[in-house]
Amino acid sequence: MTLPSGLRVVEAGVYSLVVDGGRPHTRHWGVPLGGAADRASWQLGNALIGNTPTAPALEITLGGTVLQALGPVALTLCGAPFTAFIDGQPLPVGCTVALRPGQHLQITGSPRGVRVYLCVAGGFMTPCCLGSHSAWHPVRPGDILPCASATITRRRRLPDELLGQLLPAESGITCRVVDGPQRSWFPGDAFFQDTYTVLPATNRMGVRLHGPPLPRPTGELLSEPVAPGAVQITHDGQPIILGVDAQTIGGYPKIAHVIRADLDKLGQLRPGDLVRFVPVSREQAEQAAHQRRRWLQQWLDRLLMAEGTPVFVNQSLTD
Amino acid sequence: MQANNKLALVPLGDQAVLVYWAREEQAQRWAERLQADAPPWLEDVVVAYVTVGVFYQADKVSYEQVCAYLQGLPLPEVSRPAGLSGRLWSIPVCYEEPFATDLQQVAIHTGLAPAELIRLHYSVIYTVYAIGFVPGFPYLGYLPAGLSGVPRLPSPRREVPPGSVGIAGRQTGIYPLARPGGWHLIGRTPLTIVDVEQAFFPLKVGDRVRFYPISTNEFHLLAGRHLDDTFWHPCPHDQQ
Repeated sequence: MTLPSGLRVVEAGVYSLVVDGGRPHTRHWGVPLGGAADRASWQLGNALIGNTPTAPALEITLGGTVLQALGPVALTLCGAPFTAFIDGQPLPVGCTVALRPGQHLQITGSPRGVRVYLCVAGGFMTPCCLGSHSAWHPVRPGDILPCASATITRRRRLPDELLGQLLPAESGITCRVVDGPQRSWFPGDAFFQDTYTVLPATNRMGVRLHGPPLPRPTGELLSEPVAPGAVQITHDGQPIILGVDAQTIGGYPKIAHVIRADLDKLGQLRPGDLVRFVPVSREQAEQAAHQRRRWLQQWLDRLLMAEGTPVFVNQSLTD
Repeated sequence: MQANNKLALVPLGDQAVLVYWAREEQAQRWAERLQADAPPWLEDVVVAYVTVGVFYQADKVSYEQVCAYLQGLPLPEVSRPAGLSGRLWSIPVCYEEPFATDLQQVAIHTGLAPAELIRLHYSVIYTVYAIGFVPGFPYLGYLPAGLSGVPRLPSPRREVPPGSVGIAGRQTGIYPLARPGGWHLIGRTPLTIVDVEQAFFPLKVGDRVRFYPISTNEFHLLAGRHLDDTFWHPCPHDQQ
């Protein structure tokens, strides 16, 4: 039997949320998809610490989080290059480490990107609701995030080459899009020629952008199903890209839709970043999705299987 | 029923497709058929008014295969009226203070006496046209003409108590959870209409809903009860 351990939340930070793959089957009840905003970083972090890629992890947005180990905890951080410390000693992103009982993990901030995933050996054992461990609310000071008691067998590190691929370029990002259902409401190509700036009011529900306003269409749309990646144009002519926590239905016209190969990029956008949109065909979207899937699977396979030996060992009653 | 190849299909990104219908009941009936068929790649089916969103596992099936499948589904019979689920819910609502927060505002807007607008609100049978905005929020339509056209609040309330019954435009709805909200509130049901932890979402798109007025005393007697199976009965189609 595995001994229980866990992390106690000392400082919650700006927005720290337990996530997994979310709830793809209950949108008809009005429940948002949810789950990790940057799914590649979340899965790679889990694979690095030796978990199944879809184990529950803590998504830390913008930092400011401090956690204390209640027992031995094996963990890693994966995603944006946040500065982190264990009792004052730096912990780089993409490295495995074991906390001893009582030690503090502090995640401060990142010069680029906004999200990093804290993956613990075995995953967080938080409650499951509607088929998912994704929490409804961010953590608060005093919360306990239970996990298995574990220590690492050896240190592992993600290659810098891979960590670099998890981040948006410093000059901004280009989102590949297919036409949205109401593309014809917006004549011309201004949307693809303009550069948009990410606004501070951006969160898991949506990325709010600012640019030259598009002319407001005259029609009114009856509410219809929407999905993460949809680019809505609001009444003031500005785009909102729907995020993983977006509502399931909406009444704003959708000019475009970010292809699934590029959805993770949205999860790392921070206020002030620049965004451009480039139209692609459905065939190109499928090709890009295939490439992205193969790229991720190859890294996951390499991390999960190629090394042969366990990454962490549970502390059990028989030890 | 007949096969058809003229469904109005529009992609919603690269993992979903929207199917547009002329009438709400066609969308509801067709969606129910698709849910019952449950092809292995189907992730979810979301109905909102005249549109059905079909979410599929894009890594397992192509857009073309999904479209071919959907085109092959039989068309819904359109002779039957709305409310295909055949469930008629009777939901108690207390239209008295302190629950009828915006009753006076609505009276001014509509030019109706409070007693008359309350009577109008519970005089008709509504249909659930969509569920969304927050988990389990039912969009019910349509309000009688005299009660229609009330705009949203100038700025949303920070928190609307669960069970609050609001109106906006041609619609009425019930806030299932304490959330911000911009509709005018005219009453409150004592029943729990959603329990997320228990996966309790009794109302479905296509269900029919009728409100009936209760006193503050009755409100407190019913408080905390779930909107369970005792609150609906089968709705014969000729009575819909």
